[in-house]
Amino acid sequence: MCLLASQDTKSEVADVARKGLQPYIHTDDGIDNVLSHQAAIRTAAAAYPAVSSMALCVFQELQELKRRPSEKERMFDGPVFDAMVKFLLRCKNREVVPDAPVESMPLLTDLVSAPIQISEPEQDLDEVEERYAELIYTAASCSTVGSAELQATASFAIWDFVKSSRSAAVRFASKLAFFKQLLQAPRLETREWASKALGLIAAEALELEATRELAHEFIEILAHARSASGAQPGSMVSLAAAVSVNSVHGAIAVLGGMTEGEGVRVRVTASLTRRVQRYWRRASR
Amino acid sequence: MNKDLGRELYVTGLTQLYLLLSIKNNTISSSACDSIGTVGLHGPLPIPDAVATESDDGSCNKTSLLNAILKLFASTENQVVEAAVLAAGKLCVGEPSSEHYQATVIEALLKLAKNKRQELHFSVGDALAMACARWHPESRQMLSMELQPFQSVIERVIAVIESGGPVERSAASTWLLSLTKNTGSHVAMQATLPQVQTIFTQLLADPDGTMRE
Repeated sequence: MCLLASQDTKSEVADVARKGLQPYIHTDDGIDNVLSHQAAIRTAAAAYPAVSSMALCVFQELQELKRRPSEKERMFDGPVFDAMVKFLLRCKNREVVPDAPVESMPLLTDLVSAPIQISEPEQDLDEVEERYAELIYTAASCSTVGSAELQATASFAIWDFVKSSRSAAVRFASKLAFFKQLLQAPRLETREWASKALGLIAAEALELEATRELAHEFIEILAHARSASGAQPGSMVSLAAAVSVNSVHGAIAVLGGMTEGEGVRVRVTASLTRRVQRYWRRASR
Repeated sequence: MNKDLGRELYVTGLTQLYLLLSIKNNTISSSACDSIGTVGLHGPLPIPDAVATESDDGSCNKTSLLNAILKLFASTENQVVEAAVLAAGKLCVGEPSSEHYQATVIEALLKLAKNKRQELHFSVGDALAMACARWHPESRQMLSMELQPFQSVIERVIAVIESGGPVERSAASTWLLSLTKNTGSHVAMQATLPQVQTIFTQLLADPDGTMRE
């Protein structure tokens, strides 16, 4: 109800619904510093439902709404999907927060790097993963014709998901064409998260030959970009005319990601953490 | 590099990335730095070592690649400088046998003390930890416990805090914070901890708000 109402035309309804989706964000500075972030985590742990339950619930509701033509258009509104993905992300990250005293609460570094088991003990991990993957993939697919904000959010969610386990990465291994589309997105963040996700998928879920082929393809893009830039190394005019700068950027980022091997899902660098923090700050506003 | 994609593929890829460093587009050059740094973090770059000639024939070797990255330290764009700084640090992590590499990167990083962009200096501090202790930013472990050049870096950073101008002192304080946080268990840092604690205590009374923070 909050997801749908968050985009209500009446601002007072939308405001209350948004608060329902972000029960712990109540200060102006959000998660800008360690103390407020720890407090946010502490509150979030209690305030958010389990992502496994939410993923199954939203999936079922989505199926139900699809059967009702009157609601279909509304449910597939980009901002609703954006709110849904952000909410699921918060539910997912809430699950790595143990029921522990404040001083032992993990910082964001640990939060984003911890391997996340997204199912409850009594739930089928395979089903939960499948539903969660389908939801974020649907959101990302819908975003390719929709808002840049949703595209960035969905790309972040996919990266966040594929880094959590190899089985998660395998679920996206057949969607290379979709990722190549995201790599040309106008928004920088979308390209960065999509390329990191694709790099992980290439490193962990593709056959060696398929990974090589993909790497060759991106190297070709770079070679083409270079030759198109002509004799002047700094010239971007001819480069821009010949090949999309966005696709060059996407190709570069993927090449780096491909060299990260097994186990990278539990390693997050300090600079990446800062990037995630910046992203969360913006996404939380 | 867990999945062996073959040396040739890495060489071709790195050459293309190296050539893109000179493209005057912030997104492209900083992203190329990110990618090169990621490759370098996981092991020595699979390209030829330094060429024993001063003339630059435009080929991609370890020296020319590092020089191209260090050249970006002078960029006016924060995004580019930060990416270049981190890439230079990461190359030192994966390149255990090259003292020349390490010394060149450390010198270039220390010269950034005059840069007024405060946020950049957290990255410079991380890069210094990578360069002098081969601190791995992902595993957060130090891969080298050698006293030199770690001791030398700490001494120089402390000297800047004690006698530098306001901008340099602010930069060096941030570096010292990063070094303490990342490499606090290094034997050279352990020996310096009382001095570091005194410095941080004195900074609490500094007129500069950033320094106090």
